[in-house]
Amino acid sequence: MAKNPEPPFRGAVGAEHRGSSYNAADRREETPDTMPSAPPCPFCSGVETEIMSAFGAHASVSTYWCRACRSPFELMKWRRG
Amino acid sequence: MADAIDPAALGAEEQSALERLILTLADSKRLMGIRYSDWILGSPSVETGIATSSMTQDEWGHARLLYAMLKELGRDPEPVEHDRETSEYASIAALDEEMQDWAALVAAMALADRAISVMLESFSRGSFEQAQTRVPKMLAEEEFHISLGTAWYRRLAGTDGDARDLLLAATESMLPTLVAWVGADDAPMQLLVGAGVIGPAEERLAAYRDAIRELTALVGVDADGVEASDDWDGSRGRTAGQPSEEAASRARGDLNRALFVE
Repeated sequence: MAKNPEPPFRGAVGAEHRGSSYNAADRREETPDTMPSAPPCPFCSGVETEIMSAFGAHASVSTYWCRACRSPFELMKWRRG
Repeated sequence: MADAIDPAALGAEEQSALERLILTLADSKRLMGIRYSDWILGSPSVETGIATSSMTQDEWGHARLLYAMLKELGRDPEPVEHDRETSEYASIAALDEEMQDWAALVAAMALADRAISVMLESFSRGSFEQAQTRVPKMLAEEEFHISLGTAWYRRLAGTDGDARDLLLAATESMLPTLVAWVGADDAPMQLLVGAGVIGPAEERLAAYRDAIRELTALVGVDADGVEASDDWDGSRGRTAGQPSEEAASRARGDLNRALFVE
């Protein structure tokens, strides 16, 4: 089968982000506003955090990233109060 | 929210109409999950792969909840889930075949999954108690699907070239049958509207057009101008066609029959 010379989605996330593993602005855009923008990191308590993926390793969590201690962590999608 | 009705007290035709509605919603959820699962590997990024995996779990969980509602009508959901012929499936036509590209999956996420949610929202506000109590959890999970679908639809619509063209093609292909399904107004649907189980066709269709109007305009499609396809199949409550045999086999669990535990 002939290889598609121009994969249609390459660059669709923006050329400025190409080469990075993810882009926080894009991920924020994909996430409901009900999720916090920068929850405290459970490891270092820092607030230099950002959404990494609206979805997580199982159905009830979203994944965040702490820029301070470079750790991923998960947050429940639905919480009381 | 409407006062709850006793499903057992409904007439035979109303019960049959309610069963058809539950089946089309449950089958659509199951097929939606299969279409998401097709892209767990091969989607544009690790994050989208995780998202499709997670959405697959959501959809199949919703399907199981919906199939279980059949018990209220005295029907055992187990053979319904695992023993039906492909031609009996009532899932929406937009999900019959595997999505051929990422743009088609994005269109399915933003337009087909959204259509199911519009129907469920109307169902949850109606008089069937199981919908009142079980559907809100589904809709909360669907908020995440809507956000992802909307973001990706905007992203692809904003490109110039193949991605936008593929998105437009998928949108034009899916919308007529989705409009037919959401706006269905045949005798069984009218019976359900009369029993307060679901909102009127024009109300549902208006809600759907409101939900997608801004998005489809990005690819030049006027959601208000889309007409319903004319191939309604009243016996199943969907438009003509059926899921691919491969998808129906996965939906039934044909390869895992020896391992069923319930």
